[in-house]
Amino acid sequence: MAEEKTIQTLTQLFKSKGITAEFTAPRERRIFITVEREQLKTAILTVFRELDMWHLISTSAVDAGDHFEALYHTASENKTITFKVILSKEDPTLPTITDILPAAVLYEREFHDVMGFIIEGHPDMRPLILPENWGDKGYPLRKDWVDPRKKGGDA
Amino acid sequence: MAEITFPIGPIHPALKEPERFMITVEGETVVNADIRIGHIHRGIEKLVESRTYIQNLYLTERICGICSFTHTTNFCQATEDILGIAPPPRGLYLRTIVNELERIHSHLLWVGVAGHEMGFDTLFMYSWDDREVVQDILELMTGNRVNYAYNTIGGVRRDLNQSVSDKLLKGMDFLETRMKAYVDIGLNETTILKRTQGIGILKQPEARKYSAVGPRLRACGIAYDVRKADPHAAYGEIPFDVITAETSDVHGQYVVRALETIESIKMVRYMVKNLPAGDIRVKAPRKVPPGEAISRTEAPRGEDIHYLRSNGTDKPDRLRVRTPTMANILNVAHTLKGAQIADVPMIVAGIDPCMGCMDRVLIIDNDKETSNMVDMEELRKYAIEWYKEAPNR
Repeated sequence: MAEEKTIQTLTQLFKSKGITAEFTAPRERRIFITVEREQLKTAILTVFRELDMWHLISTSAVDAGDHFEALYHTASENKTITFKVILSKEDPTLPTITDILPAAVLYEREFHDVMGFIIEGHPDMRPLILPENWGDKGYPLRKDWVDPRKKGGDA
Repeated sequence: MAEITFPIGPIHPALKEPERFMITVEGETVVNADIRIGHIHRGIEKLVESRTYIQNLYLTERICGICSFTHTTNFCQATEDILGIAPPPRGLYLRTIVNELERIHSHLLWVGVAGHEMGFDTLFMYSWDDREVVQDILELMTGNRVNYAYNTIGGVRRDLNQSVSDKLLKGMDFLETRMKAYVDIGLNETTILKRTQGIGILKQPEARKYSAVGPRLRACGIAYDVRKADPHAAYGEIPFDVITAETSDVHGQYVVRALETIESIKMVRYMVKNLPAGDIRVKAPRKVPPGEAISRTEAPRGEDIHYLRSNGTDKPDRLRVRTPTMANILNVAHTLKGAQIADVPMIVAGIDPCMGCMDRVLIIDNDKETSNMVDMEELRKYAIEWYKEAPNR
């Protein structure tokens, strides 16, 4: 399988750069790489240079119950690589990747809007999809979020 | 000269997808553009978590009114991926046929909208008239014109019989001659050339930097198409070319879309003629085991992505949807810089967003601190007049 070969190459490359990561390939053309928050940028840069990639296709924020997950979906001509960062509920802080991938600028704003991730070093953290007067009504995609209308407030 | 900032948008109750562009101009030239989206944020990603997979089929169908099928395809593919089931070949072919029919109707719609924006309403009338042909075929095949309710987890819901496929092929023959005429018009008609050539230029490095998608990316000479890069449904078995243009401007996008439609017509014809026999769907269990999947499709406007996380129940744990306009809006803000006010409608229309965003314009003059409302119709007329005054601008 082509994915296993890619994973082998990347494992060796990551080892030489001191990046700890976990690889999975659930099906053809899909690779998931779990990395530490501090090493996210180095990991993305390493993979992009090695595989000659440029395309950030999406990001996803997931509330997995006892922790958060931030996913960065990237793609090249024949594979889809997802970088996964596990964050604790107490400290959902992420470094910005807009300096290496400017296309992330809107996605990172959405990260903050829906899941309350704090993006360090982001140039522009205005709300993206929530209204300006949203205030402290919480982060709607968290599992413990309750609709303010149910508590007697307005939406 | 003093800089003036004015917003374009955000909202029109009758149309979809409003966005607001804050445009800063110096004289006639745009010096900065800022985007504000989310005016019709409907909370679909949250709503998905409280519905079953079958209910979510109908919900994801309603994410977009034009490319509704691409969203259900994505949702079905992600669910099938986690379940480990594969639809039968006939089901996959039928799914792909509707996907391509959707591309044909969406691109014809765009040709009309682009024609309207440049004051070439004859083109708008003709292309929307021809679009009825493909809409009728979709209605005949699926039962609906917009939200087809055709996809289901494990395949599709209706088979294609002989009389419908005959009508389908007849419609494709008609549309092919019409599309060749639109290519001819696009390459030779002075109105189109004047209003689109050299406008909204996005160079290759910027297209990569801002991760542009769809016809916008292919008009920059980058042959990137999800149908080739990540062959889903039956795309791996169907011969087709990825259309690119080298001009990087709005005209390039016209050419890419027109030629792509001809490719789609050929693909539909190939698929109908080579339709495998057999079942159209397999039965899927109601509960989905824990897992995650990414599904990608090439929507008419570009790459569409769903990320699905399941938790073993009959409801998804998380669904993340990234629509093509979200990816392209960033490069629009970039290409608007340095453009003329009169070209703003064409540049924004170029990526094929929904035009709701452009319907209301508020002009604020910073020096006088006054504001007055101008609607989109006036901006469009202003643009047409501006080019009429001096056609060689």
